[in-house]
Amino acid sequence: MRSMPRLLLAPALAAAGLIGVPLVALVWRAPWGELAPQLVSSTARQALGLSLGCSLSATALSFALGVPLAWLLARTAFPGQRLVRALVTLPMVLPPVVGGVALLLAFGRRGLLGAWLAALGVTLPFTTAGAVLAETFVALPFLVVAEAGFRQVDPRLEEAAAVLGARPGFALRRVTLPLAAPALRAGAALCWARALGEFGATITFAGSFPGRTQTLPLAVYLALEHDPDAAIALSLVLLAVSVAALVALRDRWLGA
Amino acid sequence: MLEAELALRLGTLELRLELAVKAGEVVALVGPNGAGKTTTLRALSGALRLAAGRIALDGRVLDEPARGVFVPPEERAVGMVFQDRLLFPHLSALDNVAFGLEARGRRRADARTLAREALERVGALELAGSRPGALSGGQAQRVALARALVVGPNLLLLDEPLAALDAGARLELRAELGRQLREFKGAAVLVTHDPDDARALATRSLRMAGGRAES
Repeated sequence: MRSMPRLLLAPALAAAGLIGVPLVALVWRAPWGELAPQLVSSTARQALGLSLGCSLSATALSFALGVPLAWLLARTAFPGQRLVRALVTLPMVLPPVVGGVALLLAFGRRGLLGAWLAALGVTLPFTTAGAVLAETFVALPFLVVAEAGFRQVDPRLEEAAAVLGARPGFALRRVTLPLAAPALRAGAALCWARALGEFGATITFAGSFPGRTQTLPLAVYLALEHDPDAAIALSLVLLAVSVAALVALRDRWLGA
Repeated sequence: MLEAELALRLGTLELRLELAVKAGEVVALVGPNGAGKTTTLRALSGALRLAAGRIALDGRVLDEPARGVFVPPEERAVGMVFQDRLLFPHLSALDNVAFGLEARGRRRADARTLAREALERVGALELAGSRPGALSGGQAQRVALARALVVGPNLLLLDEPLAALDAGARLELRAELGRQLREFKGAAVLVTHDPDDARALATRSLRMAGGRAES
């Protein structure tokens, strides 16, 4: 091992501790004996089921919309491309609560598109669909940045496919998508983890109605006041899912 | 029979070339880097569009800007072999060869049977299950040749097929290529910078420089 300047040791340990100690505390204080009853309680099951449903829907929606956009950004040139790229990745750094306010101003009853949606009989704020939309808003960028996966595919392979008789759709399905798949899978996993943990945009745009919009993170926050053990148990579930996602990503897709 | 009058600009290159290749003929394009040899092939394959001129293959017009005709690469009966092979890295050698057949609507099982036969004809049947990453340069080029030939093109384009190979593999593959070209019924254009390859494989040579043919 190389010798290291002592100056670095203290901050490095503090960094590891800053992340590590709270996580250890969470596991340490967990009501292990009552974990099973806590997790099968109706509130927990409801929140967990809703969270899974919403986050998977948000991931599917992000995939269906984000992958085509990623392809367009990687493979074509159009006016305003840089602006579009900046805009769709903005939610990665935007405070989620701001996203929630923006969603209300767009899709709310008196929002930009609210009247049109109402005419179609669609209500989004404070509904389960709204929770999915809020999660999609913050998670979609993780699939759009999978654009890098498309960039790694040599365009000359697509040229070779065309000369072999492949129409653009066939080349996309059989050459480009399979070669970009590792990046798209990693993007989808990160997108799902982000959607599952979404709090700020969801509570702002969809509220916190048990069984409709009260996802796991919201349930944790609300349980903390009157039932800390339940909050810890639910937090453990989110932690376990996150760790599982990270391990799967490292082993299979990031090659680390 | 290929009849082509090519005119296009690509970067600083200004290509102007007349080319006629009869069925059964192999024309070698020789010349230094930047002479426009690969650009010529890419115009013939449809990867590049002409600015002016005309390409016709067996009487069918493939590209003629003046009349607004452009047939995309996937609808041309053209096979192409690239210097760096460009095999699909995620597919086995067999599936690489079957690719063009499936793209043209063959069912997978049929495509694989024909692909197997095509690999056998170039002496590469034992490579069928290998991924391109596991093949040597010479092996990969045999697979690439089978992939180009299996769809039955009327025009075969070979872009430096023997470059980037070691001496032994080069001689072996040159002999194989010679056999395949003698059996090939269509027109063939071979790009090479090696006069020996041109002499061994081509029925005639055309020397290019600066985007034009030298007389």
